[in-house]
Amino acid sequence: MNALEQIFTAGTLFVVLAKVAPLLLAALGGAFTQQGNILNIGLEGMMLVGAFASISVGSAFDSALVGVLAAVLAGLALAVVYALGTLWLKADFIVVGIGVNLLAAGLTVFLLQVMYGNPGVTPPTASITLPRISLGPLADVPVLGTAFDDQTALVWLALLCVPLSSLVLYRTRFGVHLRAVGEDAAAADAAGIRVTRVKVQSILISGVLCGAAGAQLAMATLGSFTADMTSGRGFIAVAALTFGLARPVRTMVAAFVFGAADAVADQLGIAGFNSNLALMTPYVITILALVVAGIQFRRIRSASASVTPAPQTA
Amino acid sequence: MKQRVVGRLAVAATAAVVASLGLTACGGDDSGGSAAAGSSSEGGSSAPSVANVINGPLGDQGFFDDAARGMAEIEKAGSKIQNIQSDANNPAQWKSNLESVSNGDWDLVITGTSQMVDILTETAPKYPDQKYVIYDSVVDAPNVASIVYKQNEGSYLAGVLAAQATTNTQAFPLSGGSKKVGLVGGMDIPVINDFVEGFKKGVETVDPSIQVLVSYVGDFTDSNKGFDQATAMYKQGADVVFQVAGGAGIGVLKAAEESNKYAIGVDSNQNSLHQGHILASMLKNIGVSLEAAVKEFGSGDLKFGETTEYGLANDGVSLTFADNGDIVPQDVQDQIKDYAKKVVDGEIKVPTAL
Repeated sequence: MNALEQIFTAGTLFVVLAKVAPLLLAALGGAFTQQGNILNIGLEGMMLVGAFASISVGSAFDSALVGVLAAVLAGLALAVVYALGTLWLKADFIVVGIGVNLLAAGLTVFLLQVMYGNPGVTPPTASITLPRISLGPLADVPVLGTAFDDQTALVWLALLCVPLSSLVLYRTRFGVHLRAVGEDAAAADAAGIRVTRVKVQSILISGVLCGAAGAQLAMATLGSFTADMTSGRGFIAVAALTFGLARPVRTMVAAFVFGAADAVADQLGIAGFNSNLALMTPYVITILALVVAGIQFRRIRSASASVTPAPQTA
Repeated sequence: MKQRVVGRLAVAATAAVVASLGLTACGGDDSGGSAAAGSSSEGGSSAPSVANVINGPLGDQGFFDDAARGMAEIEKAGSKIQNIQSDANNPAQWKSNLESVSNGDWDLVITGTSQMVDILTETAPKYPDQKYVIYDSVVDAPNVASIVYKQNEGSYLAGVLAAQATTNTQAFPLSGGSKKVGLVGGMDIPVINDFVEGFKKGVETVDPSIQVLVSYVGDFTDSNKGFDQATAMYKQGADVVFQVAGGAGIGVLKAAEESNKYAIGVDSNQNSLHQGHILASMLKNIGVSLEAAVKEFGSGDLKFGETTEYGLANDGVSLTFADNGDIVPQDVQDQIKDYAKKVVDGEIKVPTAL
């Protein structure tokens, strides 16, 4: 009982929001490429270079803003590599995604060694954290006040990106083109849509959002970069966007499920539950969520198929 | 077997990567050879030549750096030495590095960590005349001397310190006197649980009513999760959290500063990372044990096919207060020394998870 009380407090909601923000940003980035029918496995690596750039450049200029910009640029740069490998050199999306992740892991450790003489962690001298936004009198609002007070700007940005992504995907020319490409690239091409250009744009968007996700990860509380600090969050983001069928609002719901599961797992572990079971919780929920999403997806597909039988070309 | 699978995966992935790995492997060996010639001091006839095959790069500010520090001391004592670094994720390279120094050019070949166990188990019988030392793991072969560390004993002292800090609010002003302490481990594995056992025993020795919270990050890299778990512990009232989580532990130390409480570091001296919040760091003194082993080898006392334990008694593990901003009063340090003496004398038995 005591453990349950400790788990479900307004303070936990604050932790969940902070945990969800990087996941949500990366998942939304992946949702863009997914809408263009590209399963972007490279989210993890793009986040990782973003995290490194935010600390190394941000601390060098002593500016959190510069750090975020550097993170975005780093994510973007890796996205360019991904786009070149997949769309220009026509390599497999998954293989290039894995390559991007390995490159990011190796490159960041290499740069840690070269710049700071330590392949494990940035030194205390190179530390920078994001400013936190105080809500002032609004902080006294029950539950939500505690949850949102003193969060970083990137948490707000992540939440703001949800309606923004919906807007771009469903209300702009680019969004319509991207979804058309995702549905059927050949048909889109025949309709005069520049398929490759649209795909490249979606990959670049994912790089930008993943870079911001990395900045939140490294600069929100820690203010330092540790080797491989993303620790699989990019893959959880892939799970979230898959569960969300690459739709922004659903993806956000999925990200919150995983974030909450992660926070609960931490508390369960400390409360003395079997550590292996506690650590498994987020992943069990991930698998269950994917199964549910799979069933729903099949239902949607069969429903649309029964309405409009696919016309066979003569 | 494992290395072969890894090797094939690498080949399948990209030929270019493999080629570059091969190049670095060769490059490492070549530079190794020349460096050996350069650094060789060709000292007295009795000083043995020693090669240290490292399954990763130096600069970890922990394990490997400490081994290299020991190697430097060994060199000062007149030995010809060589540290051979490698890629941290390339077992094939570790194996070829180990074999390249096993042909009799070196009197003694040192390697370490559990990651090298399979490789050495395979290599040692192939070179029966070559003598090996493995640290922090055991390989059962007639030409291998194994060194293990009693982290439970060092961890015991960390437990004593944590218990003092949560009960003595006079000497430790950031402490709330909650009688709660925590430990954040990397993974739920025997070597980490050996730390946990020692820590719990240390806390219990001071005051059995103190509650010990334990959690595991699940890996050694997720510093955010380390931060979150430690913060959750501090929120529940913990005054001190001991981190045994490698890179993830960096987050634990940061959490101590954010929550304005105490933490205890591990592996390297982390006392100055967040001044005023890190009481001490528990060290495994790899270098000290290697020096001792080489000295014994020189005098013919090093027993091969056997395992030597390094604990508090022979400086294999220790708790350091250096550079912590003098936040642990001398009388508390003295008490901890007394407890250490009791462990050395066998008066206190520290339980182990191994």
